[in-house]
Amino acid sequence: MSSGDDLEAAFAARVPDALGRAYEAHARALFAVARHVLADAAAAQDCVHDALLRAWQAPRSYRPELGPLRAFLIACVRNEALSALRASGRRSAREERAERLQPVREATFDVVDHVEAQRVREALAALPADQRGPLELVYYGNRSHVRAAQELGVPLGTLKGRLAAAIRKLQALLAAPEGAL
Amino acid sequence: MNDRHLGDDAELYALGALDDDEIAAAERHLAVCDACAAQVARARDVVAALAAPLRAYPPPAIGFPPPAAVAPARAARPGWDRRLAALAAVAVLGLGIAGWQDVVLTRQRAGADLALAAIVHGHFSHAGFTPGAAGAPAAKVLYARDGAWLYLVVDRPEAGLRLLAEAPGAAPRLLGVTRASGAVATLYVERPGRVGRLVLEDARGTVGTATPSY
Repeated sequence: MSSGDDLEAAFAARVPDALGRAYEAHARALFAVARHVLADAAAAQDCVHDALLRAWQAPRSYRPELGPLRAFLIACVRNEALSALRASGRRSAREERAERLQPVREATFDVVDHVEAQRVREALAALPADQRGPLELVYYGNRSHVRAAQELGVPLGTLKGRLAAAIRKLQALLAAPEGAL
Repeated sequence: MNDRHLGDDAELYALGALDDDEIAAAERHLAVCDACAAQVARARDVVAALAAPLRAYPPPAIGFPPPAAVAPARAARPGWDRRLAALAAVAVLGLGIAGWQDVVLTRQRAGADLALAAIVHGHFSHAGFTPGAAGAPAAKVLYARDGAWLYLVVDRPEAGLRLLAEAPGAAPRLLGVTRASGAVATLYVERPGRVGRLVLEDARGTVGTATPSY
């Protein structure tokens, strides 16, 4: 059993030190996700904290058989951040700042994972334009799906279908052997 | 409608692109459908990968309560609730203070589950101190809304700071004195009641003030 497997099992079983270990192992990505959405260091800190507590408290919230802990925690943090963004009275200012953040195509600064980043950029580039645009707008532009549909001038149902298709397509692209993209 | 598979909503759920009602419905279904849960898990992997090109920042540190302090509570005896709730405060405050000041708190892990479990049942809130002077340490107080306890954490291991409660028409009441604990100073006060303005002071004067809201 790898240390990652061990941590996932420990987190699921709520072993006392697992929360700290999970944060230690994934803090870089969790904080980056929260900060990207909220564009504010203090708000990102609160967000990661709240998301971790929620994940830790909810019975059976994390099930190791259903995917890596890292992906689960990132999803928790992103959802928490989006909720905070949309609930915040400062939504407009934050969204404006967040919207200035573009998908990182050519990193001129440190990124969460350099190797994975390159694969993700290549996979995004391989998506059909009508899938890539909505995904980038929603994920990197932090638009709600309603607003993204408005901006793209497509019905909401169409946008949702394209987003889902983009995720499934990316799944296949990222699962391909390296160099196959 | 727990029996209908999620379809596209699995990916949209992972992406955070569902409305609150849709999220609630999805989670009800996910609780009973392993196939859809697995679909969400695969989608989450992709969404997690999308984070790789995001700009990285130094993540703040997290503090946890001292293992020795929480170990006796493992049996969850009645009467330990307040103590546990206060210990939960340490976890929360550790997070908060680390965020403000980028202070690396001494991580003391064991017992975090008990402390955090206490959060679930503890009805508490927190307030930050407004610094009384330039260079004053950051501080936060976490307190039970029923006045059962309060917990002060100062982001400097400075023992001997005095915490006073002020109330209109009454003399300030000394609640206690901090003690150093790792990289921070702390003070736990049991049954302080619902206090008014809190004043933290050292020999030179006011370090900071905070006003809990009950």
